[in-house]
Amino acid sequence: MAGVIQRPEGEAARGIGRRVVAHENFAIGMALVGLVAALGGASRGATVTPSNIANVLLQSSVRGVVAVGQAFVILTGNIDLSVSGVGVMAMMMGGAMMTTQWQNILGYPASLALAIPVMLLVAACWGLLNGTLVSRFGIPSLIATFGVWQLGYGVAYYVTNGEALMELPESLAIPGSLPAAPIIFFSVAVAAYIVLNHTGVGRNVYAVGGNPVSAFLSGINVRRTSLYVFIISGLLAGLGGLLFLSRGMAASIEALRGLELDSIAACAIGGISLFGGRGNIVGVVLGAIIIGVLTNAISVMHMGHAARYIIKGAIIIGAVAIDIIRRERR
Amino acid sequence: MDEVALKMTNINKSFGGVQVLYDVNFDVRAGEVHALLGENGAGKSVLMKTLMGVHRPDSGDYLIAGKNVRFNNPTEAQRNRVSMVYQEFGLVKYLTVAENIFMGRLPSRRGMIRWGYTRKRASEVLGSLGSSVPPSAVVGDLKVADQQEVEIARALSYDPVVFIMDEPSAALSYDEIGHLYELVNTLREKGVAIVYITHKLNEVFDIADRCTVIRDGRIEGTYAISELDLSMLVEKMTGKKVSAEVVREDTYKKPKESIIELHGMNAKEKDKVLYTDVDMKVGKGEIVGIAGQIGAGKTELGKTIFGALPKTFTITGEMLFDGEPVNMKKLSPSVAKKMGIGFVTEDRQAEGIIAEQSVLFNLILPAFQRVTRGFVIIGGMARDLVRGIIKDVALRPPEPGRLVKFLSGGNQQKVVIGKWLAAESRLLILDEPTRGVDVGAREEIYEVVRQQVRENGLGVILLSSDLREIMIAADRILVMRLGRITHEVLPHETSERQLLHFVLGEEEEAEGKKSKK
Amino acid sequence: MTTESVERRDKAGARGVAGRVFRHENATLGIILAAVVAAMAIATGGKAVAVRNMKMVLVETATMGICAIGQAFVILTGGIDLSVAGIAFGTSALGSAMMTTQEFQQILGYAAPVWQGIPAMLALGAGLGAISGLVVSRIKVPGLIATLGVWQIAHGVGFFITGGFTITRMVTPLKFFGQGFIPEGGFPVAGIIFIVVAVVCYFIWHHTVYGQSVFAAGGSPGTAYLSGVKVKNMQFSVYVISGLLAGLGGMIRTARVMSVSYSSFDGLELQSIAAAVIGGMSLFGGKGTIVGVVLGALVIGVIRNGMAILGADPFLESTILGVIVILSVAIDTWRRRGR
Repeated sequence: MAGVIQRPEGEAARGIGRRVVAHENFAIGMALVGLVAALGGASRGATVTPSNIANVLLQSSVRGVVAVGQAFVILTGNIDLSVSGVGVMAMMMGGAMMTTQWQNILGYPASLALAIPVMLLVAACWGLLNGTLVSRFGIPSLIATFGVWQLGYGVAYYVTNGEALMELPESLAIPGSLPAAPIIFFSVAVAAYIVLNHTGVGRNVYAVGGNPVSAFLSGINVRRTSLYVFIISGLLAGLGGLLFLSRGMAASIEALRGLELDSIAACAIGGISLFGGRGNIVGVVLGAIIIGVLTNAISVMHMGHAARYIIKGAIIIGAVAIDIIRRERR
Repeated sequence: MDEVALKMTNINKSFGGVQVLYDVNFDVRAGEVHALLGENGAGKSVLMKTLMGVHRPDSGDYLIAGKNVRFNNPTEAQRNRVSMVYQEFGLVKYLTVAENIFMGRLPSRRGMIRWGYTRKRASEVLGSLGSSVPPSAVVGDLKVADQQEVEIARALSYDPVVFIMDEPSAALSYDEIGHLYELVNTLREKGVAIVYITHKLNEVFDIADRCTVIRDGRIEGTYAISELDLSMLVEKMTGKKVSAEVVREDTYKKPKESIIELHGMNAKEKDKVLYTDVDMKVGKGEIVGIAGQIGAGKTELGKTIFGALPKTFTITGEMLFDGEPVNMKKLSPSVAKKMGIGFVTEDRQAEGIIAEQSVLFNLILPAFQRVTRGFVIIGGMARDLVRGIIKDVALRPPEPGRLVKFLSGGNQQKVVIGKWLAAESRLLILDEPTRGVDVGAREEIYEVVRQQVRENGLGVILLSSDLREIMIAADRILVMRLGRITHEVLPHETSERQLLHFVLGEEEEAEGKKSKK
Repeated sequence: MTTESVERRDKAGARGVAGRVFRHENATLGIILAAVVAAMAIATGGKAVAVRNMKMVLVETATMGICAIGQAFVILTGGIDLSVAGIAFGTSALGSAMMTTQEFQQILGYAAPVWQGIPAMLALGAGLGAISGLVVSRIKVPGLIATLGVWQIAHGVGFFITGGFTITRMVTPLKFFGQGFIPEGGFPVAGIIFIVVAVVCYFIWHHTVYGQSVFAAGGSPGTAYLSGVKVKNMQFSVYVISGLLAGLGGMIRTARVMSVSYSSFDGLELQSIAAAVIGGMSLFGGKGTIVGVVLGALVIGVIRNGMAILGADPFLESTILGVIVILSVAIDTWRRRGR
């Protein structure tokens, strides 16, 4: 686990090869490579065609940005179950503003320049609501975000009357397609990496998750830090909703179901400790891509829903179990 | 030298209607070590935490270098060069030493943290302590003593004029305490005003210039060390007259039968040896005291007998309980309990009580077999049993329904001992049984145990680093050092002073530490 | 027994019955339930409190209530069980596929009688719960993650059995457990099962060695272990019980509706957590009562039923559920701080 923590401290003398192997993300990186190779073999190359790889990256983008937000929250020792609710709500609100289907919000279809900022802002505000409930009122994050998750679906339903969203402006298709979506995903990941490893706020996130009492006694504003991570998670859930809507150019209220599970799974696979304070963004990105590769392979290879659920479930448990066993061996 | 660095006047503080500090006056001069001495719960830490802004005082004035101050949080205090090393380890174990030292104020340029500079500053601070801890090490990988150094380094990095240490020796071995003293002396020479919170009397004489005794939230008095002696200090601290040296008469009777015998016991995990070649016997109706420093292997030995040592340790050797060999591989707390072994842990809060439950719940927890028919607990049987136990251990208040969290430390400990009496233990292992227990309750606890020993032939293993306790309570004394039993003596043949030398290993070492002062 | 009965005995003395009732830890919850019932009665113009409808509420709440009791076992040890909806679907898929007369779905080649189908469901539920239990107690994987995984696995098992189709036309005797009354036109069977489960679990919690050991393991694992309680076994067993009860809950719903689809149990895990939390279970473990959980389940059941009568859309219902959960935990947190 020394990696991210020690990397800023520099390790000039050691060879590059050994550094790569000793890196905490080495195992998961190898797992991804192995998985891609194995699936490529099993599908006789169908999963490793350029177009399919592009597809995987596209599909992983939504999950990836949301997982990055989730990672901030989990690093502080909390959890955000509301991401799908918040994402759907933002998506439906923004979509309803832009659609020509019904103009029940503004009376005219809004431009992207107006609707997208509104979507992200609304999502961030819902993150703020989560953060307030957790940091001000001391409600366990599991419960607070579970409640907000329900509220998110309620509002989304209210906005669209439960109808699917269609007839969106064509320019909306850009952010969710190639190459924009993966670029957005990786930009978000790089920005998150820099924030977490090279800014005071980011280090506060690790300190609060690692030992809140110590963080408080060191003058870190623990409440504000928890507030920030939920806002970030809400914002990125909104961005995830935007990318999803943009990719499909239509969405129903059920669209993002399961996103909270996928994002938590990406973090767990990526080595973010659920107890807080440990893990890094590179792992989360790899974790999100692993889930993407698997999901994609299951559909390309026509394995069906049953296999998808069972494999995903086994992987979540397996990833965390391996992490725990490995740590105990040390 | 005589300049007053910190002056606190008429500090009052209460928590939820319970007053814990009454008109406390306290001052400390630049370049002095001022010991703040008191029993657990006397209000020592709370007093200093009101200064730091961790707790808000109800009333009172704080003067630093003659200026009136009132800090709202620890950060404000630290910025004004008042810093404190807290008793609970306040480090983030996943982060590096350097980051822990500068947590919350990592040096940055244009929003980006300057890691190289942080590391450099950290090694400067550590260097000024004479510490060899590497700044880029991860704190969780360090020894406890090194972690404490990091914590001190963090507090010192604020360049304090007033420096508060809250029981800094609590988790350290005797050798490590020597190093701590050197550090305190260095700071004193630099003219820092040091508040040294402790409940250990010997530390006062080892390190302090002046000493203030606090009892039940009130100041008992402030004294120059030169005008004090040990017995005086004990009296001030406890409010009771006590003779300074324990003298025991020769009343030892060798017990006829032993309840437990250990032959050639060893325990280790990879290269880490917990204890080696332990041979010992405990007779029925005998209290065997095992004296030793923290880390000598006492707790581990006790947990081995109770089957509670983690399975990652390799245990070899033979254990006979009531003459029968015990299968060490299958031994677990539930098996040990059924055999008739009880274990009173040193960590009462986490391992001894269930604070949110009633006295009754806690007392019958290991004794279900006595109050059940089949798997069903019979309320009447439970109440009868518990009433008897409450009487035996003189629990106050004697209410079975009271939640344990509302009891004092001493009475909580009586519950822990009581539950093993309820389980009809025939061998009781007591690990630091009076830690955090006030002096009055201590004697009661010894008496409860003695009575069971006399009347029911209970065998007792008393593990303690408190040599006075060993002298008072044990029938026979074993000394454990670095995982080995080094001496066996009877209380009337020895003294606290001699035991101290045994425990430390050699006479020269003990003398050597004194001369460092 | 223990804490509860002793305290009651000690305090009761001179004070009257009324005082005891008010001071009881579930008094607030009882009042809330009464208020919710009254509000629904007014909003629906009395329809909600018709005897017929009250029976319906009990039947409709039975599945969720039974799952909530299982959930409460897990929460009592400081864990959480997100897998109940998955397990309820997985077991219902198995049971319905065994017992259906739809030919293409039959597992056994014949429509199994209920005495084969129902035990199979319960066994599968317990088995799926045992996966979580093993992973949590032996490897120390957080309950949240383990049950998240088992939720997916159980859902996958359900999909595997049903192929994603809705199964109907189960053997007629199954109806009895969801729609039957004892005597004819009297008390609903599903309600009786719910109440029996609650009573049995109440007895287990407060009057058996096992129950008290679970309390101890949840209240302080370290203390419980050093008192000879087999903490790992306790942690394991609560997930098995929760899985078993999820299977039982699934059976009742299947018998009531006589059809199973993959979305039949959506939200059940959250409703069961909500019922437990509203019922006063501490999420940190070691504290709570069965009576509270039952009342919590009824509060949710009454609201859902009232909303259905009023024709409110399902998302308004989930919004209200979200608000209630947050409020009940907020009140609990606030009250604990006040002390």
